[in-house]
Amino acid sequence: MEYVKDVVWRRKMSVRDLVEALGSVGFQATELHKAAKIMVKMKSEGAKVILTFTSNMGTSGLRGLFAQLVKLGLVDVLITTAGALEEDVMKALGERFYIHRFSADDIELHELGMNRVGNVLISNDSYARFEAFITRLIEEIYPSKRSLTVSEFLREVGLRLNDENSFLYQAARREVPVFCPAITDGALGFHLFMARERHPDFGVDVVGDFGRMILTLSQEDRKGVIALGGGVSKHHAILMTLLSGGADYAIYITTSTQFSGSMSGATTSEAKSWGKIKDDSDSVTVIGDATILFPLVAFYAIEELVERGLLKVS
Amino acid sequence: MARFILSRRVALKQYHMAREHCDALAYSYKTNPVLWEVLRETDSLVGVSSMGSMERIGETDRVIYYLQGERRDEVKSLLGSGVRWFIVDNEPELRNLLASCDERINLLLRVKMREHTIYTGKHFVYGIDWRRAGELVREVRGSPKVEQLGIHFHRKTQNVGEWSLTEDVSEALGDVLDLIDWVNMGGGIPVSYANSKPDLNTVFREIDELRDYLNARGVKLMMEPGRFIAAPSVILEAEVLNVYEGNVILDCSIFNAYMDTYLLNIRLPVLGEVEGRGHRYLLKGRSPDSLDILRYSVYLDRELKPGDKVIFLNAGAYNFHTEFNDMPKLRTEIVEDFPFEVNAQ
Repeated sequence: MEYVKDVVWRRKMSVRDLVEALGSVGFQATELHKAAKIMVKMKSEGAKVILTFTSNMGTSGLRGLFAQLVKLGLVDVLITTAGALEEDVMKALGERFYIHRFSADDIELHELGMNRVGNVLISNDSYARFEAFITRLIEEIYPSKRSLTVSEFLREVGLRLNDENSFLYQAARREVPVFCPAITDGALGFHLFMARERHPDFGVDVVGDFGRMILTLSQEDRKGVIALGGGVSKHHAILMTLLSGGADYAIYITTSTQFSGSMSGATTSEAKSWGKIKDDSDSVTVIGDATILFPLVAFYAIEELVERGLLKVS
Repeated sequence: MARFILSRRVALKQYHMAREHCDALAYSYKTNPVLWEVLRETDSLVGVSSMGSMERIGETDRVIYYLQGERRDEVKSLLGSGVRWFIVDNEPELRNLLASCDERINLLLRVKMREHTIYTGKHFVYGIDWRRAGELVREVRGSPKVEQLGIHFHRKTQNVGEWSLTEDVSEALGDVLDLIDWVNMGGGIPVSYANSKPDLNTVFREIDELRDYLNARGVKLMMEPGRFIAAPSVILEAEVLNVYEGNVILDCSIFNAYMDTYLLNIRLPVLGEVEGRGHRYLLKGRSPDSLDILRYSVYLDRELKPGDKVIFLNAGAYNFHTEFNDMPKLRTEIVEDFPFEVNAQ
């Protein structure tokens, strides 16, 4: 049995030191520490890692960290929702998102053409420029690719971006598939619909991608899931692993709780009942905001893997 | 009393900026009829779409008339008055026009381009299907009644997603470009409002690309920048009648000054507006109607009191009035220039 220890600041404390100290604090701090350990373990034991995140994670400044994890080879598959893709592209095109307030006057924001995501704002103009980009891109690829899976389509998008902090950019250059099963759930859906209006034989294939998702990691010995938030992205990740025996490692970070029966609040333990996470897996559910928790987990893992000589960073 | 103030200098500056990017420019009269009093001193043509407007314009040789249900005698009257440029957007109107004219005319066929925005779906889209338009171009080209022939298409001004011009034109009309003399791009060019700040560099780059593409094929580009000229040229000057709890009652209304606030959710910028600081006001029209709010929330660099002026910028496009609540029509005063700088970008 371990004992609670007081966490105190000390000079030149690293993120790794902090997370180690949090391990003895109790409550979610201890779960966070466990998550960091699992992230190190999944990579040090050669697991293929699926990172899933919701649209709002892309809205936030976590998007650059996702790109960095792809670049460093710490994640092998991305699953997300349409909003995160749109906002990754917008940021890559130079659009700025504004830090505002949770207690905003939303009517005032509407008047200014601003859309609120928590305390972050996205302007209508950013969507207009995104529309111009994506419409032109579809026209560019249509002559040679009239039907492609969602992940193939997103690779085409990523190849046309020029931003190191874009996860689509990094994924496209490292053959990391980006899956988005709910591709129509956002502005992208409108633009894809309009593309089909222009070209009836143009389409992105969700079912085809589902097959690719199932097969992508089915032959891997070990699989890990890092799920930030819930919903479609999280469920598809564990669905991917179900058919090949479940995930060996799982980290859930969510603000939802399990008591409504929602996917977003479902714990790693609940997933074991479905066989989506192995009974003997290393798994943890951390309750809290991923914008705070995930950088701590990921930075800890990077520092630890570098320290052990398992990861090289320039 | 509230009034619109039109700056000749700004109007001509906007005109010349747009003119650089095309081979001919046509100002759409309905955007703001008063502006034509300034633009008539330029080489601008004028797009007209009602017999009522014809009575006020006079210079028929510069008119491009959009036929929209004119009767045979009205078409005859237009031809008789000297109008030689026509735009038609359906076949019966085309047949009627050609049957009515004894002299050669210049004809632009309005083409229904493939739409690039989801919002179009709920609106009727004017024009002849681009495939049929191609057939009509081939037919009309041989007509002894047609001097110069072209096509006209519309893009929606404030939607940047609409501006893939060269691709759209080449895709829809590439086969018939060698048969026409003009491509007329309607719909206007965007300007900035409080809730929309389009990237004009992109828009003009697209227009330049289209012009190069057309000129290389012997076709000239005519442009109808409408809003781009009209909006920044005019300010709306309103007087503060009352101030209470941050609410400001002005001596005008959206119903007699700027219906586009309601119709198209266009929010006019206000002179002295500062971002998120200063004095916050709700700028209300002079009626008890809940729609009559020109700006729900605007931060100004000064405190307002009765008698002060509030200046709305970029107020010149489609600032028509309605008779709702018996609101009087606001006059537009033409001046040489505003006493302050207006940045339309």
